[in-house]
Amino acid sequence: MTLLEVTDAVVDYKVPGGNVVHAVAGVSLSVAAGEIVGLVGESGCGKSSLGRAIVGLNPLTSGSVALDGAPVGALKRRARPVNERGLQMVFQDPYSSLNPRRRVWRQLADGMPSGLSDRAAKAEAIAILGSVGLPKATADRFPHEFSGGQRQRIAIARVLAAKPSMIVADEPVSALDASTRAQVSALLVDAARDHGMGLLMISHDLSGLRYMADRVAVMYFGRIVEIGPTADLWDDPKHPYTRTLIGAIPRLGRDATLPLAPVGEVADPTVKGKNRWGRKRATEHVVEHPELIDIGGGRMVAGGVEDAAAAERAIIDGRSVL
Amino acid sequence: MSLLTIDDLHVTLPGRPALVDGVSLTVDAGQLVGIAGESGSGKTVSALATLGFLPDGASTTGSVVFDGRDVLRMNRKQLQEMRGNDVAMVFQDPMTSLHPMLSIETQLTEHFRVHRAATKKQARARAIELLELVRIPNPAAALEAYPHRFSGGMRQRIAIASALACEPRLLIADEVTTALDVTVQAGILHLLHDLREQTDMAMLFITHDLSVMNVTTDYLYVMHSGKVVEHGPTRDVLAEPAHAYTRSLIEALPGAREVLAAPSTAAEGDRA
Amino acid sequence: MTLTDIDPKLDADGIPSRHNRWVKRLRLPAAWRRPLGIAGLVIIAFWVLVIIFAPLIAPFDPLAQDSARYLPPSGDHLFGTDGVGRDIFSRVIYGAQISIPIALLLVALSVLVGSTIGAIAGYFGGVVDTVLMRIVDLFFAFPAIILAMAVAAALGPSLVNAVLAIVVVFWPTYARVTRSLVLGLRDSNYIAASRLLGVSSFRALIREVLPNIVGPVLVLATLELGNAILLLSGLSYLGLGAVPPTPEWGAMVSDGARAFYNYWVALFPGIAIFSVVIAFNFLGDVLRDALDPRTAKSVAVVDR
Repeated sequence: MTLLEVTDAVVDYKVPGGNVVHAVAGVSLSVAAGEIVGLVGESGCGKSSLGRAIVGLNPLTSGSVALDGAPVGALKRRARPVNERGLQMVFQDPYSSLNPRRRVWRQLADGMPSGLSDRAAKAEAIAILGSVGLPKATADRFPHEFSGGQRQRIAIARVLAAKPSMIVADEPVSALDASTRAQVSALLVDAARDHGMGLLMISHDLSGLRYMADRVAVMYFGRIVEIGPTADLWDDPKHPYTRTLIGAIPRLGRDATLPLAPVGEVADPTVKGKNRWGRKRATEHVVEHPELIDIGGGRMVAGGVEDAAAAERAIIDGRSVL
Repeated sequence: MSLLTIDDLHVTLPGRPALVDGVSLTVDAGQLVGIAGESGSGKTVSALATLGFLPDGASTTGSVVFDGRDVLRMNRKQLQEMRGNDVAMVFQDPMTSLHPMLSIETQLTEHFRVHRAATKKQARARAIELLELVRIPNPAAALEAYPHRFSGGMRQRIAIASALACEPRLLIADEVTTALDVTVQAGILHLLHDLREQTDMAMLFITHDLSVMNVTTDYLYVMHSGKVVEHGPTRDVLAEPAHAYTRSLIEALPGAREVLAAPSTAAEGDRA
Repeated sequence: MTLTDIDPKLDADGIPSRHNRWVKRLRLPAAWRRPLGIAGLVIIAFWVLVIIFAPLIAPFDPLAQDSARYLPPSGDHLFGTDGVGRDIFSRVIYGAQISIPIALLLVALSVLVGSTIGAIAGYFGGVVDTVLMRIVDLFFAFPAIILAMAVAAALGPSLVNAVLAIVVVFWPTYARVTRSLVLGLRDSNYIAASRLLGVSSFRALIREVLPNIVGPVLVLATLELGNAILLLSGLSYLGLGAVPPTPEWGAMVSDGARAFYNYWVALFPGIAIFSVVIAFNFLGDVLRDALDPRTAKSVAVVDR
């Protein structure tokens, strides 16, 4: 049952100078209840812009977002409608997503039903903090007294306090130590599975998503270029960019070789080719063939690559130009 | 004789537990040595000690012998001669690794001219050479430009070029790819390997990312709370860790259990 | 070179160590226990006592013109007498009842008016911001003393009108400062998170933004107190503030300035003003460090 439905989302920014940048250039995806979908891409691909637009922090230029069938809009001055509060976000930076001047339990209480007494709210906060592995004493403290990993747990606790049905997590573990990453990721995943929530995990780290997400969508230059069940995507990537991304990941193991290094710099729509150094990687291929084609087994690939010749053209000297 | 020998180094700030608590390591010429550990493990402090940079007010015992001389006992003049010249360092953040207000030419030629008493022309030629070495396209034009024109990956390459200006025997790279996209990181790793082939430069490569460590370095030291808990050839240590801490670090990585269980079939998804 | 990645305040799990929990006890928090802060508090406490016990301490009636004019400081008249034979010591004491509360009131009103306007402008932005800030610019365009004079002259000379005049002059500063503080915080992720949880824009301003700007604004207020007193005395000098024979310190300094060879007439009220201004300055510095929970801790640690 589809919980979150994003249809043809477009997010444009105006750059000083009058130009318009298409941070997100037409993205559609869906997340079912209890499903974990990964959204992966490198800097400038638009994944954060998409995440923020989905929850309503930035306005969508066009396209729509629906939660459980009902449309979700951008945040306005008035309080967010109650039916939209089921869609929550976990932010990347644990240091700016908690108010330094409010005690932890009070911040958790924001998402609880109004009319709850202070004592009841605090008790509930302590319970939720416990469920994310934090001790009772956490409730009365201030965020700056905790490490990055603990702060992310608090941020997750705050989101859980609102009993959401769908969570968008924007690089929730990128700013954490490697060992904390696994724990906090697991926490999110477990919380989602236990409560039957949908989870959209935005990340630049495909290996991290590999063992967590049911499906993965690969984003490049504002578009989704491939989407499918995680294992299939990893074992048999179709799109040249997906192949490039996977090939560039360094591996453990005695037989690991140096990862593949593509030619040129990452394509970033906010940067015009002339202003930066180094040849920006080829985006014509992606821009010319934006439609996703269903190739069966729940997999979709941006057009032009089911044709072997086209796929070959996108790879030069064994290294992709994407 | 090794190029660098750190012997039982202790670095302590008053009133606190030791930052570096008895660390010994060696780097031979042309060797790529890695130091792995999390933040607070003491890896950066140990590396900085190689350049004679120690925290203010720290008490230090042990020795850091580079090319036969103990860095900890050098005077200021000797240290200045060594830094940038025999030993150079590149840091993590590409956005701040270059001076935003100086042209690339200035940043690449500055300490070359100081250390080698070169003329402007000679230094410029050297700068172009360096940019080619790190594969910056159109080097002549790049020299005129300023850092903001370059992306993160490019800036790291330029920072590496700057470090290589005086042909150091040892390059210290502290989390140089951590802030970069994975495809950009791959390019830098190739570059570092190629540099080793071409120049026989040794490298001290610091990172918390063990998979990067696995494909980049020959020998590995794992640090925790100021101590070296394990060391050995990189692939051996990471495939069959002896120490519980190393094991826990590896197990924190996604998919590591699969690799640890069957080390020789780790070709999953490798595409050469 | 110094390192910042080792944090001694947290133990292995990152939970604050037992050592720092005593910061929370009801004694004066460690961050306040700094020499300058203590000095400031002592001075202010001293003046509070003077204000309360004025009738008991003052040897003479501050308005009585009984003694000889311009007597230098002596056993009878500790601070001497002024041009109409009033005891300056008593006048300084009673003056505290007027100058200090007035100055505090002044600053409080300016902060209230200015910060409200500035916060609204900064938070809501757009047309609201533009209009409000142009009004602020208008007020800034006038030199302070001219503006104060104009308002006071229009309203008539009295202490109350002088207060109003000075509030008119001071509020734009707070508006600008508050606006820039709010602008800096407006896009913070914790505000976004709060909004996503269903907090309205306005409540987010009160609940999330305000606690984070109180500190800097309070610091500015304490530092501006000195200016308030001085401007008040300036107006009194011009005859637009305290009406004689009210023992307002600023007015006393003005009187003394006219006969400065009788140094004591201006000196002692001057010292009184100076002591209050500097006490609040000390307090302001300490307040800033103490109110920010992050620097409060590091101050506490460093002072160990």
